[in-house]
Order: sequence, then C-alpha cells, then structure tokens
Amino acid sequence: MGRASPFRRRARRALGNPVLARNVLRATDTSLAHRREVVAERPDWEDLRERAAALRRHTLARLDRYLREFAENARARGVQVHAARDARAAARLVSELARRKGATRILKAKSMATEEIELNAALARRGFRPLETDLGEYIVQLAGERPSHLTAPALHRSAEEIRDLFLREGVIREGTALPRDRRALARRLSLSARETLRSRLLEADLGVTGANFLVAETGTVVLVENEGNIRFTTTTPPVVVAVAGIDKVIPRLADLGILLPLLTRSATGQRAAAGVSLLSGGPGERHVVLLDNGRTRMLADPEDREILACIRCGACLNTCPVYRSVGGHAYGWIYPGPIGALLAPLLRGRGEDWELPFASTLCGACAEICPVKIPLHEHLLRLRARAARAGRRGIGERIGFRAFRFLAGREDRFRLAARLARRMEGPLLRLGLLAAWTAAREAPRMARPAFHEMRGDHGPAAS
Amino acid sequence: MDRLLRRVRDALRGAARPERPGAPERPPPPSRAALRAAFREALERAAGRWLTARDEEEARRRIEAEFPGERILWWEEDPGERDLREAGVGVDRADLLVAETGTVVRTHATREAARLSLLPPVSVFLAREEDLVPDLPEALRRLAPRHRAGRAHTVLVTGPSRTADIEKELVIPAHGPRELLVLLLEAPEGGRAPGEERRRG
Ligand code: SF4
Repeated sequence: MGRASPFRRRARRALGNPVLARNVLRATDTSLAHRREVVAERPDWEDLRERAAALRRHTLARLDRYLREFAENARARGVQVHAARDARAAARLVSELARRKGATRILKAKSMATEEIELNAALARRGFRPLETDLGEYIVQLAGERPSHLTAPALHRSAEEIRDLFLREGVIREGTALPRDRRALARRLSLSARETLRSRLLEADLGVTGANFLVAETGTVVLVENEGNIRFTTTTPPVVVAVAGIDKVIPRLADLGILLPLLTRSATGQRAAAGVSLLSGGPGERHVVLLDNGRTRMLADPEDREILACIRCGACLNTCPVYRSVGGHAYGWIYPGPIGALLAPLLRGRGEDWELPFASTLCGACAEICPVKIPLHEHLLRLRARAARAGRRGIGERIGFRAFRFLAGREDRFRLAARLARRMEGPLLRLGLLAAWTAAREAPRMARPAFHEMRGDHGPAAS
Repeated sequence: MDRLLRRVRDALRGAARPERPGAPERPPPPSRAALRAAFREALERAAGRWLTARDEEEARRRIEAEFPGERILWWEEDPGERDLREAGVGVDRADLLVAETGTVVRTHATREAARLSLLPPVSVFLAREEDLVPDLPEALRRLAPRHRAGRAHTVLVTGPSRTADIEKELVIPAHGPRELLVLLLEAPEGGRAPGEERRRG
C-alpha cells in the first residue's frame, strides 16, 4: 500500500471511531443551526460581511501603521508591549515573565495563539502548570489532548467520556450518583467543573490570555467569552499577559460594531457573547506579546495576506464535509478545517502540512459561510498548485488526493456531496473516503475538476 | 518591536492600500418606549431578568425583597475582595443598555469594582432610561472617548455566565454569576441618577 501520509493515517483512525464521528457531527450541526437562526435575523448580514472583508483588507494592507499605533497607545496606558519573531521567542517571553514573578499559580484563558506557541509545554519545562480555565480547554488539558476546534476545544468528546475523565482525575468523587441522561449528565459535569475550579480562580499570580482583537486607536485588548473565566483571569492575578498574532489588530473601537456581531453569530450562533472585556491598560501590570511566527511572511504575499483576515470564528470548520467527518485532530495542528489547511502550511510549513490543502472537496461551503469572505477554497486550490511546484509531487497521491477527487471530481458526485453538505454528508463522505482509501488503486482516474466551472453552480453565491 | 515593525513594513512595500469601508447607514433612533421593549425582550432571551422601579428607594426595596437573607453589596460601598467573596448579590450601576442584544455596558475604575458583577452568584445592574441605546455601534461611539483618554476597563455583559462546552448543552451558570437582573429606574423627566439620590451610610 505504500506509505500512508500522516493526515491519512490520522483521518483513518478518526473515521474508525464512531463516538468521535457522532460527537463531531452533532456539535457542528448544533452550531450551524444556531448560526442560521441568528444570521436570518440580520437582513444586513451580507452588507456586514462586505464591510468586514473590506475593513480587514484595509487593516492588513496598513498593518505597519496600525500595529505601531496599537503599541504606542497600549504603552501610553502602562502596558508593556513585546514583539516575538517566532513561537519559541513568544513562549520564552511568557515563561520568563512567570519566572520573574515567581508565579506558581497561573490562570489561562482559552487562546489559539498560546496553543500555536505551545506555551503550556514551554511552561511545563520550567516547572509551571497553568490552569486552563475555559471548560473545553480544561477538559482537553485533563485528557492530555489538544483542542480539536477553534471555539469548542472538546467538541470531539462525549459526555460519557468526560464523565470517565472527571472521575479518573478526581474532578468528581468516585461513587457520586450521576444522571444517565446525556443532557442531564452534560449539565452536571459542567457544574461540577465550576465547583472544582472556583477556589483556583480566586487566587493567582499570573493570568495568560489571547486576544480576539487589538484596537489600534486605544491600545485595547478585546476578549470575548461566555463563562466568566476570562474576567477572572484578567482580574484575579496582579499580572496579566495577552499573547496575540499581529493579525488581530483593528483600527478603531467602532470597528467592533461590525466584527463582534459577525464573530459571535458565526461562532456560536449567539447575538452577543455573555461577556466582552475591553481592556485599555491596567488595573495591575499588563503585558502584550505580539506574535509574528510566519505572519509577516504571509503578509508579503498579496494572496496569502487575504488569509490573515480570519477572525477564528470556526464556522468554516462546522460546515466543512471533511472536518465534519474526521474532526480536528486529524489535521495534525491546532488550526483545523479549511482555515487550518491554509494556516498550517503557511505558518508552520512542515512537509506534512502541505498535504492539508488536498484534504478538501473544494465544495466551497467554507467560503460561503466565512464572515470575512475569505475565498478559502480558492486558496486551497492555490496552495495545492504551490505544493506541486515546490516538488512535493506525490503528496496528493499519498494523502488520498484521489479519495477527494473521487468525491469532488465528477459533477454528479460533487453535486451530491455539495447538496448534502449540511446534514447528511458526514456518514456518506466517511464511507466514500474509507472505500476510496481501502481500494485506493481502483479509484477512478478523473480529470481534475475545472474549479471555476463548478463555481457557478455550487460555489459561494456571487452576492 | 522596531524589528517587527520593520518586517511588517518590508512585507507591505508596494502593496495596494485599499481604503477603509464607510460606516453602515444608521437607522433613525427608535422611541424610548421601543428601546425599552426591545431591551427587555433581548435580555430575557439571554436568560436575564427585568425589573423596574419608580425611584432608587423602591429599587432597593425590590432587590432586598427578591433576595431575602442574602448579603447584598452595593457599588457605592466600594466593596473589598473579602466582601465580594461572601456576598450573595452584587448590585452595580450600568452605564449603558444595548437594546438590540440586551447587553449591559459598564466601565470600572478598579479591579474590585470590576469583580462586583463577577464574584457574587447574583448580579444586578441599576440603569436609567437615558442609558438605553439602540445597538452596539452606538454603545461603542459613547464608550470610545473614555478609552481614547487613557486607561479604561469596560465589560459588556449579556445574560448570566454560561457554557456549552460539553455536547453543546447550554448550561447556566459557568464561572460567573448564575443570575443576572437589570433594574430600570423609570425616573420621570428630570429625575436624578441612581447613586445621586442617597448615599448609603
Ligand atoms: S476562515 Fe472565515 S469562517 Fe474560517 S475561522 Fe476564519 S473567519 Fe471563520
């Protein structure tokens, strides 16, 4: 059979796990349903998307100016602003800070940037064990895993699995009577995590957060949450550090009027998040670590730059037939789904990351849902070509490019996949992939689909 | 930082610089009654509770009657961390109410003040009719001067804390308050703001 690619190996493992399949489908379906409901309420939704896309383009093209403005205004409010060229430098800045402060108790808010720089591992090497305060992050931390989704880190786990984990880790005492009903159990587990974590939220030396946005005109760190854990993380400890990619900068506070509703409605289907903190300076000692880690390289290419517009809502994951079938861990990095299949090769750039653009049916559902209108599937196609040019030939073959081509390659199959893209496709695509991967050599050879031809029918509405 | 800025500048050398999009057109401001109704509906949809009172005197009585036997902390007491941990109810002032989403906006001067609506299991906000604004853009317009002027810590709160991290099952509360109430003072025109009428001794 030759060498199976890392993606293919991980994906196959995921495809063979029915519990995972059920969890991922159910969670992404729920998110999509909530999203649809609240998007329908805003007749100006398309207008908002257009403006947000234009705003992000404008900001990224002038990031030099806005980044400087952010740093100056944050400093004027007493914030210590640091720059980190790569993941290691950023992790070092934060763990140095922890060491200097003698921080034995560290609270962490959910943050993709700190996942990207593998901060927890860096802190652990120095003997620090930060507490993940977001429930989903807490679950994956206890399980020794990494998040499998941008906004719902533990979505691949069932309530029963989390129950067993909580029992094993002593979050719930052995012998406690627990409800059998799944929903009642989920409720009970969530509440028991609250009780267990409470005392630890009240005493801490250092808080570590990410940032949803950085506002240039006011030097503000914007944090969006539902649980209240971020408010604890930013008010309990005397020292707080936010780690944020340089792409998080937005020009003005007023821009949140466009971006926040797009973010919360796309991410969780909420009209507004339960808590948004606008932190312009202290109380207490404040740090911001501005993370490059490949972003300036992306910025230099006008097409890659477009991808930096992402506001990490996770909607493209929820709608992606591949993500919905294999879950987040199959992608092998912390950014999964269509956006992850672009960010992994462009930011991290390992050999195996270049396989990810092939892990797509190019159905265009991601671009259609993206609140900042990134044409994700076009970029996926572009990166495939780049991978081929870079002599990474054979990558598509190894990963089972054929398997995807099998789905995407012929109009009728493609139509079917696209039509089923919301509800039914999970099981079908799983079957399709499994069949194609086990009978790989028999997969029909078909011409690569002319992408723009299909687009008229199935691609993102030109709107 | 300078090196980072240089890398960004180099990356953007010769880049097209698209303009800022214009601001969306704003609908005419609705009547105060419409704002009130919209806020209440959105608040209740977000699992918050709505109360009204004619004046601050009545507001205090109502809150005390709602939570008999609970330790109630008022913002004007400038509560310390110990009080915050022991209280059952934290009563803070609202600066703005966002009608579209049922959101309370509050800017705090101290760390403890920021925790008054976080630590006690019940969070109550007292608001005046003139605090009502139609939507987030208007709220941000009013907030911006304070953040432009210097340090500021603002929270936008919509309903009690919640999580859906286990099987997408919505659970209230998460780490923050389990209940959130907004009490609107229906002061007649010219009425004074809460906190100005009486100082708690
Ligand atoms: S690419 Fe678009 S849809 Fe995907 S996470 Fe980013 S903003 Fe959301």
